[in-house]
Amino acid sequence: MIQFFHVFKSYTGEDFALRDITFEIEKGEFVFVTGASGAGKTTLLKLIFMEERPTNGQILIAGRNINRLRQSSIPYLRREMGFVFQDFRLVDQWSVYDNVAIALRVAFIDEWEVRRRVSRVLKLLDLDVKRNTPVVRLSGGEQQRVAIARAIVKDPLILLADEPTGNLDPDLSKEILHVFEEVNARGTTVVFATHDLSLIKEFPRRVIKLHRGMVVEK
Amino acid sequence: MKRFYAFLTYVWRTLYQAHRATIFSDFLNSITVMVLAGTAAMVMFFLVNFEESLQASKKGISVLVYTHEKPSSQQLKTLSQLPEIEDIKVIPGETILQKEMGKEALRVFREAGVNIPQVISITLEPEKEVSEQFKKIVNHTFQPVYVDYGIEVRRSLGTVLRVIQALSFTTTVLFVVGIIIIVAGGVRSNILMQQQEIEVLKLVGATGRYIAFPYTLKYTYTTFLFITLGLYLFDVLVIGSGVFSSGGGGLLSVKSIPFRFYTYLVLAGTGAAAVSGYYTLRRML
Repeated sequence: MIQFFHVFKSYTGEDFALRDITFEIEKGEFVFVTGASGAGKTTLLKLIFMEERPTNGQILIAGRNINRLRQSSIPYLRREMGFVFQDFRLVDQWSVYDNVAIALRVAFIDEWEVRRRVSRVLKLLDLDVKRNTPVVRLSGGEQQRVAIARAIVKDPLILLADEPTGNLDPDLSKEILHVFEEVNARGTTVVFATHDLSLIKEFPRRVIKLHRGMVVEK
Repeated sequence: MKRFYAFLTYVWRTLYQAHRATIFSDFLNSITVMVLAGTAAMVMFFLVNFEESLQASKKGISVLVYTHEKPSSQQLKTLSQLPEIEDIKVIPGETILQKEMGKEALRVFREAGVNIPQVISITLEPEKEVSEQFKKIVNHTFQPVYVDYGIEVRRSLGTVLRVIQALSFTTTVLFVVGIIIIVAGGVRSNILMQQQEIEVLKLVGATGRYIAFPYTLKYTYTTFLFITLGLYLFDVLVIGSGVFSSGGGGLLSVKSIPFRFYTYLVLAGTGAAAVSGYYTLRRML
Protein backbone atom coordinates (compact mmCIF):
# COMPACT_ATOMS: atom_id res chain seq x y z
CA MET A 1 0.00 0.00 0.00
CA ILE A 2 2.81 2.42 0.95
CA GLN A 3 6.35 2.01 -0.40
CA PHE A 4 9.37 4.27 0.19
CA PHE A 5 12.53 3.78 -1.87
CA HIS A 6 15.63 5.71 -0.74
CA VAL A 7 13.63 8.81 0.10
CA PHE A 8 15.39 12.01 1.14
CA LYS A 9 13.67 15.18 2.23
CA SER A 10 15.28 18.54 2.86
CA TYR A 11 13.47 21.79 3.57
CA THR A 12 16.54 24.01 3.40
CA GLY A 13 18.63 22.26 0.77
CA GLU A 14 21.36 21.52 3.32
CA ASP A 15 19.97 19.70 6.37
CA PHE A 16 17.91 16.60 5.70
CA ALA A 17 14.72 15.96 7.68
CA LEU A 18 14.65 12.42 6.24
CA ARG A 19 17.61 10.44 4.90
CA ASP A 20 17.55 7.34 2.75
CA ILE A 21 14.20 6.03 3.98
CA THR A 22 13.16 2.66 2.57
CA PHE A 23 10.25 0.61 3.87
CA GLU A 24 6.98 -0.97 2.82
CA ILE A 25 3.61 -1.04 4.55
CA GLU A 26 1.15 -3.72 3.45
CA LYS A 27 -2.53 -3.16 2.83
CA GLY A 28 -4.53 -3.42 6.06
CA GLU A 29 -1.46 -3.14 8.29
CA PHE A 30 -1.32 -1.09 11.52
CA VAL A 31 2.08 0.54 11.93
CA PHE A 32 3.44 2.80 14.63
CA VAL A 33 6.00 5.41 13.58
CA THR A 34 7.99 6.45 16.58
CA GLY A 35 11.01 8.53 17.46
CA ALA A 36 11.96 11.56 19.51
CA SER A 37 10.81 15.08 18.62
CA GLY A 38 12.46 16.18 15.38
CA ALA A 39 13.15 12.59 14.29
CA GLY A 40 11.10 13.13 11.10
CA LYS A 41 7.77 11.49 11.97
CA THR A 42 5.63 14.43 10.81
CA THR A 43 7.69 14.86 7.62
CA LEU A 44 7.24 11.17 6.82
CA LEU A 45 3.46 11.44 7.20
CA LYS A 46 3.37 14.65 5.16
CA LEU A 47 5.17 12.87 2.34
CA ILE A 48 2.60 10.08 2.36
CA PHE A 49 -0.18 12.67 2.41
CA MET A 50 1.54 14.59 -0.40
CA GLU A 51 1.65 17.79 1.58
CA GLU A 52 5.38 17.71 0.84
CA ARG A 53 7.31 16.29 -2.09
CA PRO A 54 10.46 14.19 -1.59
CA THR A 55 13.78 15.83 -2.45
CA ASN A 56 15.01 12.48 -3.74
CA GLY A 57 13.75 8.90 -4.00
CA GLN A 58 10.45 7.30 -4.95
CA ILE A 59 7.20 6.95 -3.03
CA LEU A 60 4.39 4.65 -4.16
CA ILE A 61 0.93 5.03 -2.64
CA ALA A 62 -1.67 2.44 -3.61
CA GLY A 63 0.48 1.58 -6.64
CA ARG A 64 0.82 5.21 -7.81
CA ASN A 65 4.18 6.93 -7.96
CA ILE A 66 3.54 10.27 -6.30
CA ASN A 67 6.60 11.85 -7.90
CA ARG A 68 4.86 11.52 -11.24
CA LEU A 69 1.46 12.53 -9.97
CA ARG A 70 0.14 15.79 -11.38
CA GLN A 71 -0.78 18.51 -8.87
CA SER A 72 -4.39 18.33 -10.06
CA SER A 73 -4.59 14.61 -9.20
CA ILE A 74 -3.53 15.03 -5.57
CA PRO A 75 -7.02 15.95 -4.23
CA TYR A 76 -8.47 12.71 -5.67
CA LEU A 77 -5.80 10.60 -3.97
CA ARG A 78 -6.29 12.51 -0.72
CA ARG A 79 -9.95 11.59 -0.72
CA GLU A 80 -8.81 7.99 -0.19
CA MET A 81 -6.82 9.00 2.88
CA GLY A 82 -7.63 10.32 6.31
CA PHE A 83 -5.21 12.44 8.30
CA VAL A 84 -5.36 13.34 11.97
CA PHE A 85 -3.07 16.28 12.55
CA GLN A 86 -1.30 17.20 15.73
CA ASP A 87 -2.82 20.69 15.51
CA PHE A 88 -6.29 19.33 14.49
CA ARG A 89 -6.70 21.65 11.48
CA LEU A 90 -10.40 22.28 11.94
CA VAL A 91 -12.42 25.33 10.89
CA ASP A 92 -13.08 27.08 14.20
CA GLN A 93 -16.37 28.74 13.35
CA TRP A 94 -17.92 25.65 11.74
CA SER A 95 -19.98 23.21 13.79
CA VAL A 96 -18.73 19.74 14.68
CA TYR A 97 -21.10 18.30 12.06
CA ASP A 98 -19.87 20.58 9.25
CA ASN A 99 -16.22 19.94 10.09
CA VAL A 100 -16.79 16.21 9.72
CA ALA A 101 -19.20 16.40 6.78
CA ILE A 102 -16.83 18.45 4.61
CA ALA A 103 -14.66 15.35 4.04
CA LEU A 104 -17.63 13.78 2.23
CA ARG A 105 -19.08 16.89 0.64
CA VAL A 106 -15.91 17.60 -1.37
CA ALA A 107 -16.42 14.24 -3.05
CA PHE A 108 -20.05 15.14 -3.86
CA ILE A 109 -21.51 12.40 -1.68
CA ASP A 110 -25.23 13.04 -1.47
CA GLU A 111 -26.47 14.82 1.64
CA TRP A 112 -28.58 11.93 2.92
CA GLU A 113 -25.55 9.64 2.88
CA VAL A 114 -23.43 12.40 4.48
CA ARG A 115 -25.94 12.66 7.34
CA ARG A 116 -25.96 8.91 7.88
CA ARG A 117 -22.19 8.51 7.91
CA VAL A 118 -21.46 11.60 10.01
CA SER A 119 -24.05 10.59 12.61
CA ARG A 120 -22.45 7.14 12.82
CA VAL A 121 -18.93 8.44 13.52
CA LEU A 122 -20.13 11.15 15.88
CA LYS A 123 -21.86 8.46 17.96
CA LEU A 124 -18.76 6.29 17.81
CA LEU A 125 -16.62 9.12 19.16
CA ASP A 126 -19.21 10.31 21.67
CA LEU A 127 -19.66 13.68 19.97
CA ASP A 128 -23.30 13.31 19.02
CA VAL A 129 -24.60 15.78 21.61
CA LYS A 130 -22.20 18.45 20.42
CA ARG A 131 -22.90 18.08 16.71
CA ASN A 132 -24.11 21.69 16.33
CA THR A 133 -21.48 23.29 18.56
CA PRO A 134 -18.79 25.37 16.84
CA VAL A 135 -15.48 23.59 17.37
CA VAL A 136 -13.90 26.72 18.83
CA ARG A 137 -16.01 26.10 21.95
CA LEU A 138 -14.75 22.53 22.43
CA SER A 139 -11.91 21.37 24.63
CA GLY A 140 -8.62 20.19 23.10
CA GLY A 141 -9.59 16.54 23.59
CA GLU A 142 -12.96 17.06 21.92
CA GLN A 143 -11.38 18.86 19.00
CA GLN A 144 -8.98 15.95 18.61
CA ARG A 145 -11.95 13.58 18.41
CA VAL A 146 -13.61 15.80 15.76
CA ALA A 147 -10.39 15.60 13.73
CA ILE A 148 -10.43 11.81 14.07
CA ALA A 149 -14.12 11.69 13.08
CA ARG A 150 -13.33 13.71 9.95
CA ALA A 151 -10.47 11.37 9.06
CA ILE A 152 -12.45 8.13 9.42
CA VAL A 153 -15.88 9.23 8.14
CA LYS A 154 -14.99 8.46 4.53
CA ASP A 155 -13.73 4.94 5.31
CA PRO A 156 -10.30 5.73 3.89
CA LEU A 157 -7.84 3.28 2.39
CA ILE A 158 -5.08 4.82 4.49
CA LEU A 159 -5.42 6.55 7.85
CA LEU A 160 -2.51 8.71 8.97
CA ALA A 161 -2.33 10.05 12.50
CA ASP A 162 0.27 12.46 13.80
CA GLU A 163 0.39 12.27 17.61
CA PRO A 164 -3.39 12.00 17.85
CA THR A 165 -3.26 11.22 21.55
CA GLY A 166 -0.80 13.96 22.41
CA ASN A 167 -3.47 16.15 24.01
CA LEU A 168 -5.48 13.39 25.64
CA ASP A 169 -5.39 11.72 29.06
CA PRO A 170 -4.25 8.04 29.16
CA ASP A 171 -7.79 6.61 29.36
CA LEU A 172 -9.03 8.64 26.42
CA SER A 173 -5.84 7.79 24.50
CA LYS A 174 -6.66 4.09 24.86
CA GLU A 175 -10.24 4.68 23.73
CA ILE A 176 -8.99 6.55 20.68
CA LEU A 177 -6.56 3.78 19.87
CA HIS A 178 -9.45 1.30 20.06
CA VAL A 179 -11.26 3.40 17.47
CA PHE A 180 -8.19 3.21 15.22
CA GLU A 181 -8.10 -0.55 15.71
CA GLU A 182 -11.75 -0.79 14.70
CA VAL A 183 -11.06 1.22 11.57
CA ASN A 184 -8.03 -1.00 10.87
CA ALA A 185 -10.17 -4.10 11.34
CA ARG A 186 -12.37 -2.91 8.47
CA GLY A 187 -9.31 -3.05 6.15
CA THR A 188 -7.89 0.47 6.44
CA THR A 189 -4.11 0.76 6.57
CA VAL A 190 -3.19 2.80 9.67
CA VAL A 191 0.05 4.73 10.15
CA PHE A 192 0.15 6.09 13.68
CA ALA A 193 2.98 8.44 14.69
CA THR A 194 3.61 8.71 18.42
CA HIS A 195 6.42 9.09 20.89
CA ASP A 196 4.31 7.49 23.65
CA LEU A 197 6.05 4.15 24.15
CA SER A 198 3.55 3.00 26.80
CA LEU A 199 0.86 3.09 24.13
CA ILE A 200 2.99 0.95 21.82
CA LYS A 201 3.59 -1.52 24.63
CA GLU A 202 -0.11 -1.82 25.31
CA PHE A 203 -1.02 -2.28 21.63
CA PRO A 204 1.85 -4.28 20.17
CA ARG A 205 2.08 -3.65 16.43
CA ARG A 206 4.84 -3.25 13.88
CA VAL A 207 7.03 -0.21 14.69
CA ILE A 208 9.07 1.98 12.34
CA LYS A 209 11.51 3.84 14.51
CA LEU A 210 13.15 7.03 13.29
CA HIS A 211 16.22 8.72 14.64
CA ARG A 212 17.50 11.99 13.16
CA GLY A 213 15.71 11.37 9.90
CA MET A 214 16.83 7.77 9.45
CA VAL A 215 15.02 4.48 9.97
CA VAL A 216 16.69 2.60 12.80
CA GLU A 217 14.07 -0.13 13.19
CA LYS A 218 11.31 -1.39 10.91
CA MET B 1 -27.59 10.54 -10.26
CA LYS B 2 -26.89 10.83 -6.51
CA ARG B 3 -23.65 12.61 -7.26
CA PHE B 4 -25.42 14.99 -9.58
CA TYR B 5 -27.98 15.71 -6.88
CA ALA B 6 -25.11 16.29 -4.41
CA PHE B 7 -23.52 18.67 -6.92
CA LEU B 8 -26.79 20.58 -7.27
CA THR B 9 -27.04 20.80 -3.48
CA TYR B 10 -23.51 22.21 -3.44
CA VAL B 11 -24.35 24.79 -6.10
CA TRP B 12 -27.53 25.79 -4.28
CA ARG B 13 -25.75 26.09 -0.90
CA THR B 14 -22.99 28.12 -2.55
CA LEU B 15 -25.47 30.45 -4.24
CA TYR B 16 -27.35 30.95 -0.97
CA GLN B 17 -24.11 31.75 0.86
CA ALA B 18 -23.08 34.09 -1.97
CA HIS B 19 -26.41 35.89 -1.64
CA ARG B 20 -25.99 36.29 2.13
CA ALA B 21 -22.37 37.37 1.79
CA THR B 22 -23.43 39.95 -0.79
CA ILE B 23 -25.73 41.59 1.70
CA PHE B 24 -23.30 41.70 4.57
CA SER B 25 -19.86 42.23 3.08
CA ASP B 26 -17.94 44.06 0.37
CA PHE B 27 -20.30 47.00 0.67
CA LEU B 28 -17.76 49.55 -0.52
CA ASN B 29 -16.78 47.42 -3.51
CA SER B 30 -20.42 46.96 -4.44
CA ILE B 31 -21.06 50.70 -4.34
CA THR B 32 -17.98 51.26 -6.53
CA VAL B 33 -19.28 48.74 -9.06
CA MET B 34 -22.62 50.55 -9.05
CA VAL B 35 -21.00 53.94 -9.63
CA LEU B 36 -18.84 52.51 -12.42
CA ALA B 37 -21.90 51.04 -14.13
CA GLY B 38 -23.76 54.34 -13.79
CA THR B 39 -20.83 56.29 -15.25
CA ALA B 40 -20.50 53.91 -18.18
CA ALA B 41 -24.24 54.21 -18.80
CA MET B 42 -24.05 58.00 -18.68
CA VAL B 43 -21.35 58.09 -21.36
CA MET B 44 -23.30 55.53 -23.37
CA PHE B 45 -26.33 57.79 -23.09
CA PHE B 46 -24.45 60.77 -24.54
CA LEU B 47 -23.00 58.62 -27.27
CA VAL B 48 -26.39 57.28 -28.30
CA ASN B 49 -27.85 60.79 -28.53
CA PHE B 50 -24.93 62.38 -30.35
CA GLU B 51 -24.78 59.46 -32.73
CA GLU B 52 -28.38 60.18 -33.61
CA SER B 53 -27.57 63.81 -34.35
CA LEU B 54 -24.50 62.91 -36.40
CA GLN B 55 -26.56 60.59 -38.56
CA ALA B 56 -28.98 63.43 -39.15
CA SER B 57 -26.20 65.86 -40.06
CA LYS B 58 -24.58 63.39 -42.46
CA LYS B 59 -27.76 63.38 -44.52
CA GLY B 60 -27.10 67.00 -45.40
CA ILE B 61 -27.42 70.39 -43.77
CA SER B 62 -30.91 71.47 -42.80
CA VAL B 63 -31.63 75.16 -43.06
CA LEU B 64 -34.63 76.41 -41.12
CA VAL B 65 -36.31 79.57 -42.44
CA TYR B 66 -38.75 81.18 -39.98
CA THR B 67 -41.29 83.36 -41.80
CA HIS B 68 -44.76 84.81 -41.26
CA GLU B 69 -45.53 84.71 -45.00
CA LYS B 70 -46.95 81.50 -46.38
CA PRO B 71 -44.65 80.56 -49.30
CA SER B 72 -46.34 79.99 -52.67
CA SER B 73 -45.66 76.84 -54.67
CA GLN B 74 -43.93 79.01 -57.32
CA GLN B 75 -41.49 80.37 -54.70
CA LEU B 76 -40.73 76.89 -53.48
CA LYS B 77 -40.23 75.67 -57.06
CA THR B 78 -37.72 78.48 -57.76
CA LEU B 79 -35.74 77.52 -54.69
CA SER B 80 -35.82 73.82 -55.46
CA GLN B 81 -34.14 74.47 -58.83
CA LEU B 82 -30.88 75.34 -57.08
CA PRO B 83 -28.41 72.45 -57.49
CA GLU B 84 -27.62 72.05 -53.75
CA ILE B 85 -31.26 71.57 -52.70
CA GLU B 86 -32.41 68.05 -51.92
CA ASP B 87 -35.75 68.57 -50.19
CA ILE B 88 -38.06 71.36 -49.03
CA LYS B 89 -40.79 71.04 -46.40
CA VAL B 90 -43.11 73.58 -44.87
CA ILE B 91 -43.82 72.87 -41.22
CA PRO B 92 -46.43 74.78 -39.22
CA GLY B 93 -44.77 76.90 -36.53
CA GLU B 94 -47.06 75.46 -33.87
CA THR B 95 -45.76 71.97 -34.53
CA ILE B 96 -42.17 73.11 -34.05
CA LEU B 97 -43.04 75.11 -30.93
CA GLN B 98 -44.86 72.18 -29.35
CA LYS B 99 -41.99 69.84 -30.14
CA GLU B 100 -39.40 72.22 -28.70
CA MET B 101 -41.20 73.68 -25.74
CA GLY B 102 -44.20 71.49 -25.05
CA LYS B 103 -48.00 71.81 -25.15
CA GLU B 104 -48.13 74.20 -22.23
CA ALA B 105 -45.87 76.73 -23.98
CA LEU B 106 -48.00 76.48 -27.11
CA ARG B 107 -51.12 77.25 -25.07
CA VAL B 108 -49.45 80.29 -23.45
CA PHE B 109 -48.31 81.62 -26.84
CA ARG B 110 -51.78 81.15 -28.29
CA GLU B 111 -53.48 82.89 -25.37
CA ALA B 112 -51.02 85.79 -25.62
CA GLY B 113 -51.93 86.13 -29.29
CA VAL B 114 -48.38 85.65 -30.49
CA ASN B 115 -48.12 85.22 -34.23
CA ILE B 116 -46.09 82.05 -34.44
CA PRO B 117 -43.92 81.91 -37.62
CA GLN B 118 -43.98 78.87 -39.81
CA VAL B 119 -40.82 77.04 -40.72
CA ILE B 120 -39.51 76.14 -44.17
CA SER B 121 -37.14 73.23 -43.65
CA ILE B 122 -34.66 73.04 -46.54
CA THR B 123 -32.37 70.02 -46.71
CA LEU B 124 -29.23 70.40 -48.80
CA GLU B 125 -27.58 67.60 -50.75
CA PRO B 126 -24.99 65.70 -48.67
CA GLU B 127 -21.64 67.49 -48.34
CA LYS B 128 -23.08 70.71 -49.90
CA GLU B 129 -22.63 74.11 -48.26
CA VAL B 130 -24.96 77.10 -48.27
CA SER B 131 -24.15 79.30 -51.31
CA GLU B 132 -24.45 83.09 -51.57
CA GLN B 133 -27.11 82.68 -54.25
CA PHE B 134 -29.12 80.49 -51.89
CA LYS B 135 -28.94 83.14 -49.14
CA LYS B 136 -30.01 85.87 -51.59
CA ILE B 137 -33.03 83.91 -52.82
CA VAL B 138 -34.12 82.98 -49.29
CA ASN B 139 -33.85 86.58 -48.03
CA HIS B 140 -35.64 88.11 -51.03
CA THR B 141 -38.33 85.50 -51.51
CA PHE B 142 -39.49 84.65 -48.00
CA GLN B 143 -38.62 87.79 -45.98
CA PRO B 144 -37.69 85.60 -43.04
CA VAL B 145 -37.87 86.53 -39.38
CA TYR B 146 -34.84 84.37 -38.74
CA VAL B 147 -32.73 81.85 -40.70
CA ASP B 148 -30.91 79.02 -38.91
CA TYR B 149 -28.11 77.81 -41.21
CA GLY B 150 -26.98 75.33 -38.52
CA ILE B 151 -23.46 75.01 -39.95
CA GLU B 152 -21.45 75.89 -36.87
CA VAL B 153 -23.55 73.69 -34.66
CA ARG B 154 -23.08 70.71 -36.92
CA ARG B 155 -19.34 71.21 -37.21
CA SER B 156 -18.89 71.33 -33.46
CA LEU B 157 -21.29 68.43 -33.13
CA GLY B 158 -18.96 66.26 -35.18
CA THR B 159 -16.02 67.18 -32.96
CA VAL B 160 -18.00 66.56 -29.79
CA LEU B 161 -19.14 63.23 -31.16
CA ARG B 162 -15.58 62.11 -31.81
CA VAL B 163 -14.62 63.13 -28.28
CA ILE B 164 -17.60 61.29 -26.85
CA GLN B 165 -16.86 58.19 -28.89
CA ALA B 166 -13.31 58.13 -27.53
CA LEU B 167 -14.59 58.83 -24.03
CA SER B 168 -17.16 56.07 -24.34
CA PHE B 169 -14.54 53.56 -25.40
CA THR B 170 -12.23 54.65 -22.57
CA THR B 171 -15.04 54.48 -20.02
CA THR B 172 -16.04 50.99 -21.11
CA VAL B 173 -12.42 49.85 -20.84
CA LEU B 174 -12.12 51.54 -17.43
CA PHE B 175 -15.39 49.95 -16.36
CA VAL B 176 -14.13 46.46 -17.22
CA VAL B 177 -10.63 47.09 -15.80
CA GLY B 178 -12.17 48.61 -12.66
CA ILE B 179 -14.28 45.53 -12.10
CA ILE B 180 -11.29 43.25 -12.71
CA ILE B 181 -9.26 45.15 -10.09
CA ILE B 182 -12.10 45.31 -7.56
CA VAL B 183 -12.90 41.61 -7.89
CA ALA B 184 -9.24 40.54 -7.81
CA GLY B 185 -8.68 42.61 -4.66
CA GLY B 186 -11.86 41.33 -3.04
CA VAL B 187 -11.02 37.71 -3.80
CA ARG B 188 -7.49 38.17 -2.47
CA SER B 189 -8.61 39.65 0.84
CA ASN B 190 -11.36 37.01 1.14
CA ILE B 191 -8.83 34.23 0.66
CA LEU B 192 -6.50 35.71 3.23
CA MET B 193 -9.36 35.98 5.71
CA GLN B 194 -10.47 32.42 5.06
CA GLN B 195 -7.06 30.84 4.88
CA GLN B 196 -7.91 28.31 7.59
CA GLU B 197 -11.04 27.14 5.77
CA ILE B 198 -9.23 26.82 2.44
CA GLU B 199 -6.38 24.91 4.07
CA VAL B 200 -8.84 22.42 5.54
CA LEU B 201 -10.66 22.03 2.22
CA LYS B 202 -7.38 21.20 0.50
CA LEU B 203 -6.51 18.64 3.16
CA VAL B 204 -9.78 16.76 2.81
CA GLY B 205 -9.31 16.46 -0.95
CA ALA B 206 -11.15 19.45 -2.38
CA THR B 207 -10.06 20.27 -5.92
CA GLY B 208 -9.02 23.79 -6.91
CA ARG B 209 -12.30 24.15 -8.77
CA TYR B 210 -14.34 23.12 -5.74
CA ILE B 211 -12.63 25.82 -3.66
CA ALA B 212 -12.68 28.47 -6.38
CA PHE B 213 -16.32 27.99 -7.40
CA PRO B 214 -18.03 29.64 -4.37
CA TYR B 215 -15.74 32.68 -4.51
CA THR B 216 -16.14 33.07 -8.26
CA LEU B 217 -19.88 32.66 -7.96
CA LYS B 218 -20.07 35.14 -5.10
CA TYR B 219 -18.20 37.84 -6.99
CA THR B 220 -19.96 37.19 -10.28
CA TYR B 221 -23.32 37.31 -8.55
CA THR B 222 -22.44 40.46 -6.57
CA THR B 223 -21.14 42.23 -9.65
CA PHE B 224 -24.20 41.26 -11.68
CA LEU B 225 -26.50 42.47 -8.92
CA PHE B 226 -24.83 45.82 -8.42
CA ILE B 227 -24.29 46.60 -12.11
CA THR B 228 -27.98 45.92 -12.67
CA LEU B 229 -28.87 48.07 -9.67
CA GLY B 230 -26.53 50.85 -10.85
CA LEU B 231 -28.08 50.84 -14.33
CA TYR B 232 -31.59 50.71 -12.93
CA LEU B 233 -30.90 53.72 -10.69
CA PHE B 234 -29.33 55.57 -13.63
CA ASP B 235 -32.37 54.85 -15.75
CA VAL B 236 -34.79 55.99 -13.05
CA LEU B 237 -32.86 58.95 -11.64
CA VAL B 238 -31.19 60.37 -14.74
CA ILE B 239 -33.26 59.41 -17.75
CA GLY B 240 -36.58 58.92 -15.97
CA SER B 241 -36.36 62.30 -14.25
CA GLY B 242 -36.24 64.05 -17.63
CA VAL B 243 -33.15 66.13 -16.84
CA PHE B 244 -32.04 65.93 -20.47
CA SER B 245 -35.31 65.57 -22.32
CA SER B 246 -36.20 69.28 -22.08
CA GLY B 247 -32.71 70.57 -22.90
CA GLY B 248 -31.05 71.32 -26.20
CA GLY B 249 -33.90 73.39 -27.62
CA GLY B 250 -34.90 70.47 -29.80
CA LEU B 251 -31.50 70.41 -31.44
CA LEU B 252 -30.90 66.88 -30.18
CA SER B 253 -33.61 64.31 -30.14
CA VAL B 254 -32.98 62.90 -26.65
CA LYS B 255 -33.41 59.15 -26.47
CA SER B 256 -32.85 56.73 -23.61
CA ILE B 257 -30.24 54.01 -23.94
CA PRO B 258 -31.44 51.01 -25.95
CA PHE B 259 -31.90 47.91 -23.79
CA ARG B 260 -29.15 46.10 -25.66
CA PHE B 261 -26.56 48.61 -24.37
CA TYR B 262 -27.59 47.81 -20.80
CA THR B 263 -27.26 44.12 -21.63
CA TYR B 264 -23.76 44.68 -23.06
CA LEU B 265 -22.69 46.51 -19.91
CA VAL B 266 -24.10 43.83 -17.61
CA LEU B 267 -22.51 41.03 -19.66
CA ALA B 268 -19.14 42.77 -19.93
CA GLY B 269 -19.04 43.56 -16.21
CA THR B 270 -20.26 40.16 -15.06
CA GLY B 271 -17.93 38.38 -17.47
CA ALA B 272 -14.97 40.45 -16.28
CA ALA B 273 -15.85 39.63 -12.66
CA ALA B 274 -16.09 35.89 -13.37
CA VAL B 275 -12.80 35.76 -15.28
CA SER B 276 -10.96 37.97 -12.80
CA GLY B 277 -12.27 36.02 -9.79
CA TYR B 278 -11.46 32.62 -11.24
CA TYR B 279 -8.02 33.65 -12.53
CA THR B 280 -7.03 35.25 -9.21
CA LEU B 281 -8.16 32.17 -7.32
CA ARG B 282 -6.32 29.75 -9.56
CA ARG B 283 -3.16 31.77 -9.06
CA MET B 284 -3.56 31.90 -5.30
CA LEU B 285 -4.72 28.35 -4.55
